[in-house]
Amino acid sequence: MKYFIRKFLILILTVFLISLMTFVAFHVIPGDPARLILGTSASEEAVEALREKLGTNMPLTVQYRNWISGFLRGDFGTSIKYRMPVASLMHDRIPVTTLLGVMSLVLILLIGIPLGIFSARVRNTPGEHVLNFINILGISFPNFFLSIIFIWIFGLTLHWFTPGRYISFDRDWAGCLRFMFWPALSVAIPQTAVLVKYVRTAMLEQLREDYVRTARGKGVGETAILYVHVFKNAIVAVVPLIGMIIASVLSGSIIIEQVYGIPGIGKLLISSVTSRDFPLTQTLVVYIAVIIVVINFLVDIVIQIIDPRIRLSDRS
Amino acid sequence: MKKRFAAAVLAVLMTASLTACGGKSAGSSDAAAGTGEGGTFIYGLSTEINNFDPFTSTTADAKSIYYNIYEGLVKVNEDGSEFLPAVASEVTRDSDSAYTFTLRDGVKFHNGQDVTMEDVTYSIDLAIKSKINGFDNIKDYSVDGNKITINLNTPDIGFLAYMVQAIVPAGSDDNGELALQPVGTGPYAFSDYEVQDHVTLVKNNDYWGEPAHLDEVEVRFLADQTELLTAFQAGSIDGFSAYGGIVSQLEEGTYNPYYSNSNAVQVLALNNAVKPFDDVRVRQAVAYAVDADEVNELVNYGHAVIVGTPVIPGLARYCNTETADDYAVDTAKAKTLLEEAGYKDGFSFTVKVPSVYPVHVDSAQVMVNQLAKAGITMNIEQVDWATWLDSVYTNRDYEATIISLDGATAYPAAYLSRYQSDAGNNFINYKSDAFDAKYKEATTATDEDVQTGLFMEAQQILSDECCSVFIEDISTVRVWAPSFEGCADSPLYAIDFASVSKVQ
Repeated sequence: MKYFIRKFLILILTVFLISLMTFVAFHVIPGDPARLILGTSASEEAVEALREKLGTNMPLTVQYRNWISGFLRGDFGTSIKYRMPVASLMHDRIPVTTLLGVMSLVLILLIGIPLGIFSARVRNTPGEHVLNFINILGISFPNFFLSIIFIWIFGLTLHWFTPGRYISFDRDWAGCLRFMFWPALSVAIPQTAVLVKYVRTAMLEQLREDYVRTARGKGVGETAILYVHVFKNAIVAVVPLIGMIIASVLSGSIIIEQVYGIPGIGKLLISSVTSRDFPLTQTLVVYIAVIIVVINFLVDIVIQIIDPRIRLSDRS
Repeated sequence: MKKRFAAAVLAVLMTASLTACGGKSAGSSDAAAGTGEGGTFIYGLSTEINNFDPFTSTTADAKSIYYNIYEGLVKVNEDGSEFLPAVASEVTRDSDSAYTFTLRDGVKFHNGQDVTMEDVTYSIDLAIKSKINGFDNIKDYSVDGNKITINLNTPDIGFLAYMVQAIVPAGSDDNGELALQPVGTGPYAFSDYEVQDHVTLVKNNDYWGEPAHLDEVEVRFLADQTELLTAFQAGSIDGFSAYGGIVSQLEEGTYNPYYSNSNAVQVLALNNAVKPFDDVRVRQAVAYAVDADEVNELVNYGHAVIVGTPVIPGLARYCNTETADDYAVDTAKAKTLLEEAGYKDGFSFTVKVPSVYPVHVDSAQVMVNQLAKAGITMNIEQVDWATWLDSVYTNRDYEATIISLDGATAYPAAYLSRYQSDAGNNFINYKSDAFDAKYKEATTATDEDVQTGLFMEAQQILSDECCSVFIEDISTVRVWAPSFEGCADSPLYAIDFASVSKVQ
């Protein structure tokens, strides 16, 4: 119980610190949302009139205080740029980013774990070098670059999907999945490569343990050793990484959403920062922070379930 | 000269019909059968439009789209030479400072209501309240049946230019509702909008003038020029406006190009208040060192129009074209001027360029080499748009910048007013008594020909004193898929979707 309370307090503190840092950042960077809305041809009087209407003429400290007090009451404020409640903007976008995240995650786990085990199995063979080579390629390719290549090859040349035409899930779910496969794959490849490397290392470490020798001595086959005994132990070492991957894919692949034109959380975040939309940026940043903290917390619990020897209170 | 007011100022005006089509290059469409009617056109835009309120959303890109939704009492014709009646059917200039507009019969808003005088006064009041340019000069107005007379504080024969401001239903914007539910009288009506995705416009079947050809126009928001190009190649958009050299990446024959002016002048703006640009000789040296033709060749593939004044060449009547040759490239002269000013060994400065506009960044890179030949070192600092607006435009904290300046209205004052010494938007800190006097004389002149001459002289002063280096109207290419044609010219930064049609 004490553990949960402590974790909860850490969550609150993290979120508060992050929102405070966003506030400080907004204080430092130049930019006036009213001028951005009106453009260069508007008179200074017109800009001032709009500032007053939007409430951005108030000191940022006051705006921050208003946002916090609203936030605590469950009111995330109104977006300055879109003039809509922040909550409804996020409500439309979270499913999009979550879908992208879940699809990427499925790809990462489906490819990463078996491939990791396989690469542990083929150690000391020519296959290992081939896999290592592919793996390094996967890790070192930035995902936005992969996206551009996918758009070029599969979009413009082979016409397997139409770049620049996001299809919403409600309109056509099959079309949506077909389109989202490519951004999901772009997110997945570098993460998969990292996962493969981790799984392989963890497996190889476990293979050196005494219980493996015992199992071999008992005449257990290599496949059973790998999948039943070693994998179960190795996965404990990999869970924190999987947690990090989940947190990162769910909080939005900012660049990927931008490159493929997917109206998700990441794209909204870029737009909110470039338009100096304070309430929207604050809420998005807090949302992302909460996801990361909560998932790390869940990872702790999962690890404990997998390996009861690890006491939650020991980990902090 | 005579044209503009022969039509607009003098009494009765013909029932103006919009010239539907006819870009410079091709596509002279016609109302006759044979031209494609109907269809959906998907237009890609690299700026997201999220506010359609004509009173508070006045960015160039927003206006370029809602131009199709709203109309004012008058609208400007294709070459900016005259103002045609729109929601008003007739305009009379009663005196130097009084205009009477007669409301056109049978004009309907997109919501089906007839336009009444109440709507007109509501819109004018709202424009005054929102501090829209030009409306501060309105002293009062009086309504008599279907006529409204507007009295001005000071005479302004260019006043009609401001009357393109949208007419909206009374009460429709009391709480800024128009931002997301725009209602106007234009050839297209607003249909739906999805944040960060698209806005859809549908044909207004009750339009008083010549109706649009297409049933629907969808404006899709994409990230940048590269994404627009990709989307066009993939067929997910039917058209976009290309700047700079991006169009060279398309295969000839795979698109219909419509070259037009961008109606904004790209300028290397020099902050006249900071050293060494406070010295006119240094500014002139920079002007002589910059080769506008080379910028045009390398950045705009030769499609831009070289200018020497802030007034766009699209306003042919007012643009002083002679200034374009005032500072023909002359490196030797630049060096001499620098020596006279005490910068024998040259100097160095930083140009802050808004990174969202690749054209300006590319132009800066070309100019770096040109200036180096005269011994001037220019360092490029890219800043994001919000930073540019705040630190360069508003706080004037910069040495030099490159930007395209558009005008709010099709009238030279919109381009020249910022050069008055005390203008709030005089971000280049130019101060000249000679210009101030000439500008004032021009804007208060009551004879058109005299006024035009004064505006020409005012521009010559700007050029002689070399307030900044005016380069070019950067030009834009409207790139349409082969199945679409037509794009009318406009002296405003606008895309006239009513002139686009499907190829049969």
